[in-house]
Amino acid sequence: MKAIFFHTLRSSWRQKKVQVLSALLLLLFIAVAFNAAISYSAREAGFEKARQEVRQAWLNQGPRNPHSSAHYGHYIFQPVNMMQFMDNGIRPYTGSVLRLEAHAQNEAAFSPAEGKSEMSRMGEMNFAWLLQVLVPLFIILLGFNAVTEERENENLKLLFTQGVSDRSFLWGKILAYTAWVSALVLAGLFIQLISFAVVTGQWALPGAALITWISFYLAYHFLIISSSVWLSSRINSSSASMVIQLALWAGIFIILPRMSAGAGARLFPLEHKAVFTKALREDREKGMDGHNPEDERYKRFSDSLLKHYKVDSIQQLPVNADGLIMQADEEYANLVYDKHFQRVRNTIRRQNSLSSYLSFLNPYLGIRNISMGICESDYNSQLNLFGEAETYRRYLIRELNTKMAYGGSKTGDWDWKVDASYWNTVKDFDYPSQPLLKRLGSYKTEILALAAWFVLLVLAINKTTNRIIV
Amino acid sequence: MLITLFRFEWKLILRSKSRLLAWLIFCLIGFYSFEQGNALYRFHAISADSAMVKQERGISSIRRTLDTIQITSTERHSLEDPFYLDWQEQTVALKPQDPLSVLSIGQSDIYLSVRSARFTVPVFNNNFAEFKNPEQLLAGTIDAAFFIVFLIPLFFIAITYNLYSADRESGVYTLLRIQAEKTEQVMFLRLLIRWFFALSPAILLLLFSGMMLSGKKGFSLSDFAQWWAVAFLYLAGWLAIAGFILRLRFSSLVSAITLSGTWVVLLIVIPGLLNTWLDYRYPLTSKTEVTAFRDEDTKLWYVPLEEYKAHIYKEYPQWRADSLRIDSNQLRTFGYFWLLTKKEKEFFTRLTDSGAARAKAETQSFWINPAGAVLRCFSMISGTSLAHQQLFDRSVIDYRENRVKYLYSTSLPKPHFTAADFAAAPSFQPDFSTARKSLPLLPLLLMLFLPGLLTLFRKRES
Repeated sequence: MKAIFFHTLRSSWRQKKVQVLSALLLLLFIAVAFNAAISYSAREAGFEKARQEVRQAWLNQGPRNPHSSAHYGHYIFQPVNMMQFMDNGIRPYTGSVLRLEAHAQNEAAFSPAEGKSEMSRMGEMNFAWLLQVLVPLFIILLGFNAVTEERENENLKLLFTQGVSDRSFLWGKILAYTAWVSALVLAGLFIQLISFAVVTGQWALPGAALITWISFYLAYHFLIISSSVWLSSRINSSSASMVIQLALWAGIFIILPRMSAGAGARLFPLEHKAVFTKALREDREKGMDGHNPEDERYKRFSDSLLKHYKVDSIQQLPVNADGLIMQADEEYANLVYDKHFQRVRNTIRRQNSLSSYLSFLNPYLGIRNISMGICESDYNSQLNLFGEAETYRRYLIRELNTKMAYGGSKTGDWDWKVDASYWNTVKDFDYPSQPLLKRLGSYKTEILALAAWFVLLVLAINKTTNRIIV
Repeated sequence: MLITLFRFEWKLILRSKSRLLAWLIFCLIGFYSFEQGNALYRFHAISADSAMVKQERGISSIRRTLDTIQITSTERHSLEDPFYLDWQEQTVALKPQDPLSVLSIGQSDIYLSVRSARFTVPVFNNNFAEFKNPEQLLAGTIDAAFFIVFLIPLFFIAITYNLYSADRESGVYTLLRIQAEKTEQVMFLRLLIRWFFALSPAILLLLFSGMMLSGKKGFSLSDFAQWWAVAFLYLAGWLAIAGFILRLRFSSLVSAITLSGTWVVLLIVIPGLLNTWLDYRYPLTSKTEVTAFRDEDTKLWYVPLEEYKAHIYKEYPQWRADSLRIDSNQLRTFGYFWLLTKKEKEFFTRLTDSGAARAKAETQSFWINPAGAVLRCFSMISGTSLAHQQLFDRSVIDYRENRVKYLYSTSLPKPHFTAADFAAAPSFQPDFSTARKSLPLLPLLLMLFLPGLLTLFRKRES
């Protein structure tokens, strides 16, 4: 096996085809690295500027009624982290700005894809995409004739008569290609990190996430290499092996992901916005209208307040009833929004679960999801961000309503204003990165699928013993 | 000779189970691609219908109320207040769906096709935006455009890569050379027959889509013909490329690598690199502008009444004389909403400028990205292009401003806002004629003729 390993490495090194393809791949790594680093740098600066501007606007509101401020609202922007430099995931297709305000849970708006033409759907290159789609193509071009060429050159007969076993022959080839591809991929990673550090000036890297991320890719490439070499051992001619493997590549990377997305949408259709809005409105109407004193529930709540404070009229209350009523309305609205948004999110989760299960058939879907998960550019991370943003919205509105209720104003006094210094007492939104293990925990199915592929291929290769056509 | 060759190729196809199976799979993918586009078309139609139903309900309620208002009464009904009327009407603006959008979805799964036209609701509140699964958007859909641009060339490559070499490798080529006909001619005819075979799933799709779409409202036969003409022009480009590469007489293996390499470069690498570069060169959606718009909105509310009046009297000088009669609160509201719609326009222009500049740069890049040119042609013909969307969005904003002006200018100076005034309110009618400029066909012609010229040049050399 050792001899086969070194022989394969040496012959790969000498082959013009391999030299040209490796050089092309490295060039693509370089092109993508600097492009991504500059874009990342601009995105990060844009995020920081927007975040600070929003905070400053909040702090500089001056004397104002707290509820007026609740309508003025707050904005949350998609944060950027270093790992998204590697894999941008679904971020181009999710809203980049989320408005937080009283009475309503908004959806994030202004997704980058909205302002682009149909050409953007032909794909954007980033390092993860190269590792997911183009490196497998490189592997196919490297390994499609791993066995067929030896057979066509009559080398197989010689090798086997010299006592080389089928198994050690295949493993020698697989390990040599793995070493070659891994070296290229690690060189690519090095290029990405260097360009990132040079362009952004950030040298501190998320070590654990990076190592886990690249390890998954190396394992994924090993699977592709093993499949390619195994297929080469089962097919008669190099050209047939080439065509079959290319067809598989097109099927796995181009056709199947689109089909599985389409099937997910067909199996678990998302409800129309009109249906959602109607159901939401109906439930909302069952609650209290915080701005309408004629509302029946409003009256009941006011009566309970009068009873609690043992006074005869709203004006005699030591607190501002408007603040309390609006908060009660918010609490109810939160339940309604949670119920309805949860339903939509569950449908999306179900749609996505199809691609998770299909990673048992197509490992590309598995690595794509795991990679996005580690880089926090997946749907779960998106939901986590929105969840945190919603928690912050509730905190913000509760604070403002509490100030309105207990800050010293009287019911109905909508012109009452808080001091300009008050705004500083309201905390700013902070979005902490999720722990790596928690991120990976959402992708157990995909990890299991990759492991199953690993076992299956090892078994297939070991079973090939004495079955290679000479 | 053509018939003999056709019979020969036909027999080859019938004998090859894998080729027949591939053909069948491609035909099925073709029908599937149509169904994908049709599903989205239906989804949009339902969204539009439900928005229209809601609007119609509002309109008939307003009409009923306005019909019953006593003109002689001096008191105004709440519906005569434009703010309340706008809230009650629930006006929406619909982007008309072209039946050809079934064939090329383009970005229509992302773009908004229904927008609120109520001036009392900020245009950027996407209340009508349907829920989307971002993972699905990332994966993309298999529509007819994708089928033509990506998959048919792949099928063509798979059945032609060994056209010369298989004969040479099996020894048939020597037999061919001793025939009376020129080998080149025989080979070209065989390539042409295989091209037609690869095209057959697309031809079936053409017939099927023609049959299914011709009944849809707004179907244009000339647009449908143009769409398919572009598709076949592009596929003819692949015929030229394959012809050129096969004439280089490589072995089957090298031919397969060269042809599939060309496919990868033209459809994956070049567009991918261009998109990455364009993202960097034309960054979209300035987040700070979104917040700036909110601040502008807040500031506008606190503008002194005199400033509003000055702005309004500029366009309606006759109101100066009536100023005492017109409710100053109404004047303030009018001034606020009018100026807000103007701000919306400014803000929207800033947002779309970058997208438009990017689209222009994309057009220039079509010389090296013919597949992008084909997709642009498809989206322009089927009304799913960025230009169409931006025109729609701009029309909505213009319409909102016109509505504010019409409702207030009709309601404020008169004792009553009547049912006739309501009926005469402007309706939303976007004009998309400027969105459809000339199609970027030159890069496609280059794709067709360049390999042909190279082939001729090589022939003279040899």
